[in-house]
Amino acid sequence: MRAAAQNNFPRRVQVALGNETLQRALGRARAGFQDKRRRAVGQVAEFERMRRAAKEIKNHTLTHLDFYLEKFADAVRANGGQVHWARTAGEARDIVVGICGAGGKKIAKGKTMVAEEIELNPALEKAGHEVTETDLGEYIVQLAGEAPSHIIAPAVHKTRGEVLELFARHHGAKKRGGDTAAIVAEARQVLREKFTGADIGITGANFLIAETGASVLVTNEGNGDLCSCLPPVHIVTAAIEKVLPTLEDLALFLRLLGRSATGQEISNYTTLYAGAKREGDADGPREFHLVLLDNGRSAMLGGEFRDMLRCIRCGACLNHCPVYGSIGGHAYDAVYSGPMGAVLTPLSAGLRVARDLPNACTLNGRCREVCPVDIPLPDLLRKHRMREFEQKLGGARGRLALVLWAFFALRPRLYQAAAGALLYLLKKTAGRRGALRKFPLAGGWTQSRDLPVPEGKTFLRRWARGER
Amino acid sequence: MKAGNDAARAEILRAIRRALGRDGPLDPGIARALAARAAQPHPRPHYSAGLAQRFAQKLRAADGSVDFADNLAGIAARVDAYLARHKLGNTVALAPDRRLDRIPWPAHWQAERRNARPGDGVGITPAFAAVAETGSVALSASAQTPAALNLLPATHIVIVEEQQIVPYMEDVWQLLRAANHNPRALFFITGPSRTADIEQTLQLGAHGPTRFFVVVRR
Repeated sequence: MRAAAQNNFPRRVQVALGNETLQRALGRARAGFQDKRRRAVGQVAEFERMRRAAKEIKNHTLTHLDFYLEKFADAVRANGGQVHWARTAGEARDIVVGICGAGGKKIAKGKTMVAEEIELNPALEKAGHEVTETDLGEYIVQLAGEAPSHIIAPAVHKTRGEVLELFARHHGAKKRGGDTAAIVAEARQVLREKFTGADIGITGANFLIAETGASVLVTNEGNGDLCSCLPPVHIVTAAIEKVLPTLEDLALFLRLLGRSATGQEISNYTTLYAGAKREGDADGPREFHLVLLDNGRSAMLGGEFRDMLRCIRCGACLNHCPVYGSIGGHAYDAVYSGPMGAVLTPLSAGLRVARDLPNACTLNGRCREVCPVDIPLPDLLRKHRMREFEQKLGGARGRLALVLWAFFALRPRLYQAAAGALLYLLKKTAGRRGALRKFPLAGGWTQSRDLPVPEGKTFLRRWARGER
Repeated sequence: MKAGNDAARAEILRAIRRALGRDGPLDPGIARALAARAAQPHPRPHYSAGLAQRFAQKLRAADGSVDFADNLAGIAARVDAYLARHKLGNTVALAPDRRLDRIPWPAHWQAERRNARPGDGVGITPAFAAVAETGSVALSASAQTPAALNLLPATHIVIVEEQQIVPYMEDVWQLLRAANHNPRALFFITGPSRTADIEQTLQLGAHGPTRFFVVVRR
């Protein structure tokens, strides 16, 4: 079980920091995502107003979530679709496995984080079905036997060379060029057969529209649409917070999603799916199923993490997080990584097993600045830290440090005296180099870097002396 | 299964209401007010260019091609020239739609009115509308306009009437409501399919069409 491994977070971070291939891939991805978003957002004078409107719509919808969900479910049924409500991940898995029926089906899957969350693929394979991920990034991590490392770029940690090796191993020894075009062409050819031969298509949904019962799917590859249109059965897995009241609301969110995720004004394929094939339609699935997943969300709604339910899974917080940018998604060892994952994982796996994640944050605030629905991610992470302290989950050493710090912080004169003494001591030890190679109790920190020693006097001393 | 699902539905709704501090559904008066909550216009990007100009500019920025024709014969000529320019042959799958039937397609084509097949090179479909803001075409699935024709052919060609170009996606919603129309699938397609999953390098032609060409009839 993934949750059990959470305790090894520091170890996984060390491995990630020492993995040069990963570091190169992460560096390239970070620069690319940040530049693209900055350009796209900079071109729209209305962006901040759009962002505020989106936050209000989400808050409004969450406050009336039962109403909009029932409205949505009624509309799906009116469109000829079936709605399945799932309280837990296990229930959702059972529902999908039940719909798929007897083993031996060929299943083509579009990218869906909810399916990752409910660990759907192993359950389908256990039931005797052949499951193929069709988003190129998801396909690559499936071949590699890995989990996605980014919610919108699942194989962001893989280099082209690694993909070439994977393809050579799995597609047999065909003659192939090594460039990106050749890799994409090969995947296109292999996956074409998966689309056209599939008995069942499974996709996620970026939004659910209460007004019309539409499930909205956003992709750039068009793979999700092929999964939705060609097989005779289409199953959508979506979580309850995805619902939006109207099509007007959808238009606003699409403008924010594309710009925040990939710096696009709109993704290439944005499709509204409303139920099964209609009488006379030239094509489309004869069965349309929508699985609505709770899995802890209704509990979040009533608690101090409700703001997190506004999340539209754009990935901007990952792309702008210095911690994610240094360690990548796999170090989190959870479905969701980066700042949003560090908030969500302790809620699903428990703070005891995931207690390191909220601490892997510098509280620099970039994640909140770029969040298209203004989720106060640093505040939510701080709440986890407070709960962790209250429940005495942190190590004894950290606890002692905090208690000591609080003792001094509440006594300003003593604090100043101690700070001055510490500064003197540090400078004496560091000598002319101005940096320490080792520091007591911080061996982990100084292992990969030196600790620079502060220059000059303490801030308050300098302030008192008139340095402004 | 069915009974179990009713129980799940009831329990999820109950949990949501409990979280929201209610013990039952919304007060009927509030529910009516929400149902009547007008589809509100939200802040959106302002632009001043003309609709056709904006549409073409944005679609080209998304790696699509756009050409203009003055009449039906002009549409056929533009498409024929495009096929020749890119050496795409003359075998074409046409959506079985009256709007395409009126166009005098070149006699040397092997044109078939049918849905797409996996190996198709070229598919031609009519648009439901087009959105100038983003350079997108809106395509609905129906008996005359199969969804697979938008996805399977290597080259996707869309025929748009200039008056079908609307300023924003919201205007497409108004068209749907005016026609009381809720198609099984409504696509907004903006350029050829693409992926950046290999080292963040943009590559066109992921799973959908590799080429995307729109002819606008003035």
